[in-house]
Amino acid sequence: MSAPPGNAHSTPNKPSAGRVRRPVTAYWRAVGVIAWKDLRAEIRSRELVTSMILFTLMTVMVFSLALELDADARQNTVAGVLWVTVVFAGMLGLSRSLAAEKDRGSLDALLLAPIDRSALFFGKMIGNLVFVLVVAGVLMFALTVMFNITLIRPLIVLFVLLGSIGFTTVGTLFSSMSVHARARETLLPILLLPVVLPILISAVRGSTAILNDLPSDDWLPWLQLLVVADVIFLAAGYALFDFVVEE
Amino acid sequence: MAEYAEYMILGYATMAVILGAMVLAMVLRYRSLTREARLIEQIAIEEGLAGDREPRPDRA
Amino acid sequence: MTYSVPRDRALKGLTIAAGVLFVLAMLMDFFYVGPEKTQGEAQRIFYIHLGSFLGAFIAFAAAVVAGIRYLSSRESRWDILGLASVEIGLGLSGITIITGMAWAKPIWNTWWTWDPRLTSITIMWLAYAAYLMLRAGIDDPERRRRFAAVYGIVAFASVLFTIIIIRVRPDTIHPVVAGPTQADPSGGFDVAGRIRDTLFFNLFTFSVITVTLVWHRIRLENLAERVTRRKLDVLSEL
Repeated sequence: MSAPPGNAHSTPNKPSAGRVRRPVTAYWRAVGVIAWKDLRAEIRSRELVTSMILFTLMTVMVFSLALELDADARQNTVAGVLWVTVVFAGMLGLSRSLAAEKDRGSLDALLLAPIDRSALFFGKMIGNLVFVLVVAGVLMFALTVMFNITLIRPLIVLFVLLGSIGFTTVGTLFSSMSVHARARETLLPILLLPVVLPILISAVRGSTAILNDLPSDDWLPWLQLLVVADVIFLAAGYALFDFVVEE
Repeated sequence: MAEYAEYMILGYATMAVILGAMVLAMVLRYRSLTREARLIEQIAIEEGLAGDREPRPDRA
Repeated sequence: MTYSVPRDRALKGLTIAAGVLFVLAMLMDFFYVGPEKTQGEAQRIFYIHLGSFLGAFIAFAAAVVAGIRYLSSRESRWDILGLASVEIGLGLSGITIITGMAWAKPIWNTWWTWDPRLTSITIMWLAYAAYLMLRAGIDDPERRRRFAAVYGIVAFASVLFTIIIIRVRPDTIHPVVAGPTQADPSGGFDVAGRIRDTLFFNLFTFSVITVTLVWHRIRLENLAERVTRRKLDVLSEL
């Protein structure tokens, strides 16, 4: 977990003097500990990633049966299939991530810990990001095999990475709000989908352009939009998470 | 030359309907609230309770 | 009612001004400008389409300001401003979408198309509808105000997306009136004469209407809270 994303936005003060350095590394150590805690719990139980991957594979089956795609149509829809599946599988993980914490009562303990609240946010977000990336990796491999389209390319991987960062950033912020709602499972998609749809559109349109070997004029604007959206959402998550979890 | 006039009328009519609905919703809610307030004061008087001493809000 | 006299008078004046401006704007839309060469009478929709979008933009921007001010001051009046602006903004952007559809039918020969612009404004509308769902879903009032402020700030990203999408993507068929695009990076403003006068007058009118409606909506919410408080008082004394 070296150099997690959003580095530039989450360092609270510039390391001008030698003494300021230590809190910054302590900050990132806290982020790492939170993320690693979630990952280790998942490595032991394996219940979340297993169900997310199974859900993913079933969704791919449903898509290929429902759309009855020929080779040409597959080329243009595979990015959409990829992203719709990643988003819905990711939502399964996101709604669990804080709900489990709250139901066990361990959220209060985390909030009492003497760390910056935004460190908690980035730790949680990186944990979620790893789950989403694992699912996306499995899915890209599965689609490459089953749709006979090479998805594992550097540029597609870049789009998946940037899209997942934006999605999990907003997702972590909103799932920490929706755990307090009466109907948390239905509220999260309603809150999350409209806000992440710009990311989804950029990622789908950009990936489709790359898969069709279009010139960079056709996907570069989407890449730029994706980077801008990620930066905005990371800054928003960093600034606003404090207010969501305070009590 | 009244080309496409029916679509123009449709557009302006829907605008009027939505604006009207927004204003109407507010007027109806205002009425039901004032009616409720009057009812509460009436009950307060009948039961011999103190009147509304709450400081009147002067900012909006 | 129960407000101070100067504020009461200001709101009454503003309401009358908004009504007069609205009538004048409608007269300008129908009589001051003539029909356009290629789009005929349908072009007149453009004035209220853009006007209502500006109104919605002002309302949603006010919700961002209200969210920031609420989070820093924790005064519930900022939360009421947020709620009022989102509700009014939803109505006005609804007008933008529906008038756009009425214009698109004769010009594009379809009510709806999945153009980036149309998609993004629908996303924006849904994001703010979700704001109301969020408020309805959370019971604790303090927490509801806090979450609504946070969501109101983040949801503004969808407004920005609606505005920048046609500047980024050349493949939209939606016309761009002002500002730089990929086809014309220098920017510019391609309306003139009476059309421009009418457009600016409509933009101004819709801004005034938006402020007036939000103000009235705030008063309504204040009244509702006051009635609820008084009811609880009376009930506790019975």
